[in-house]
Amino acid sequence: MLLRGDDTNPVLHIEELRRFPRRRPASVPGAAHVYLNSNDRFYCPPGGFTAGELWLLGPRRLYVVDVSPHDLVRSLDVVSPASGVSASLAVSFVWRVYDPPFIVASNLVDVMVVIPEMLRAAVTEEIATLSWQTPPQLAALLTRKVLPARIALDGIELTGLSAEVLTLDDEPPAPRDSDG
Amino acid sequence: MVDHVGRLVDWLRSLDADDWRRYIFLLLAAYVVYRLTCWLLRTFLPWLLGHILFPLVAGVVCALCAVVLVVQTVGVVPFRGFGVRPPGFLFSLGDLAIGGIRRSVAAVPYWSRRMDVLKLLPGFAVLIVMVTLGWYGHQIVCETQPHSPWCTGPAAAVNSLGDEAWRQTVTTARDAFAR
Repeated sequence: MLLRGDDTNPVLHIEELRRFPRRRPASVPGAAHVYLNSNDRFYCPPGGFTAGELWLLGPRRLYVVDVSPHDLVRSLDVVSPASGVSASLAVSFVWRVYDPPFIVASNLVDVMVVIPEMLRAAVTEEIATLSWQTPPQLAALLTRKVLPARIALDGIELTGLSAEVLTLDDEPPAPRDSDG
Repeated sequence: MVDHVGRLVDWLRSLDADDWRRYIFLLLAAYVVYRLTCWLLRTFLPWLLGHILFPLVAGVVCALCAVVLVVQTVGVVPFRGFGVRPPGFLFSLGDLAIGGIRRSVAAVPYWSRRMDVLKLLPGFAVLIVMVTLGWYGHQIVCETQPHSPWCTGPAAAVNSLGDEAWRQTVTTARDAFAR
């Protein structure tokens, strides 16, 4: 039920709930339950609502959101502010949804709308602080873990960022999810 | 064999009008009891079970499940306050309660429909029920009152009961018409 390799919609399932559901929605490992109640407020209780809470609070809609970590590799072009030389980077990272209610409330159906921009902004900002003239110099600097440990924006967090400089012999990675 | 038939003929010749009336009355009473038992088993019992007993039991079960549901909901509150996942048994308790309510509600029409099979109860089965009940009553009387005529001579007891009932009926009818 979790995201397939080429799927980028973190909302796995939407279900209209009865006022008195006949059974509790099954919880899926790696997914969080987000409930929309009658006051248009979102709830994401740990483990999902129990049967008693479902009957008492009467949420009207359930969203199952994927919160499991996904490995991803993206290519990125950066320009040296000193020399104007550009270099291509292959940035590998792990993304996951850390704020499921925000994801549902913002109607985010494609994480690739958010992730490339937040990655570009964060990596470009960090690279801009480094002084490098040539791609090999940048590659040497990148071995020192200069990238941030965590980037969080719009309910999505990127962790475990690492980058390597692509040479002309390298083939740029396909921009797709590579977890399995 | 001829001797038995002869005795039966002698007995029949010895019966007077009162005896015949009494036996016809007993026969009619037995038929009324049979029809009453038929109605009880074919009409009243399915109604009693399907419309009274099963809904009553289901209602009691639903009430118990509702209590369990409330207890489960109250038990979850402290964990929600701390933002941690409640223990699994609270989830199971809620599922159990909802399942109990769902099954109870579904069981009422299901078993009520099943009780309709009693409407097809054959007359032979009704007779068996009557005989069984009669035999059971006889056994009970023999255990509690061994010297009662219902234990020592049930046929004679039935005969005297029919006689008494016939007399009562005639007296009641005469009184009614005399007014």
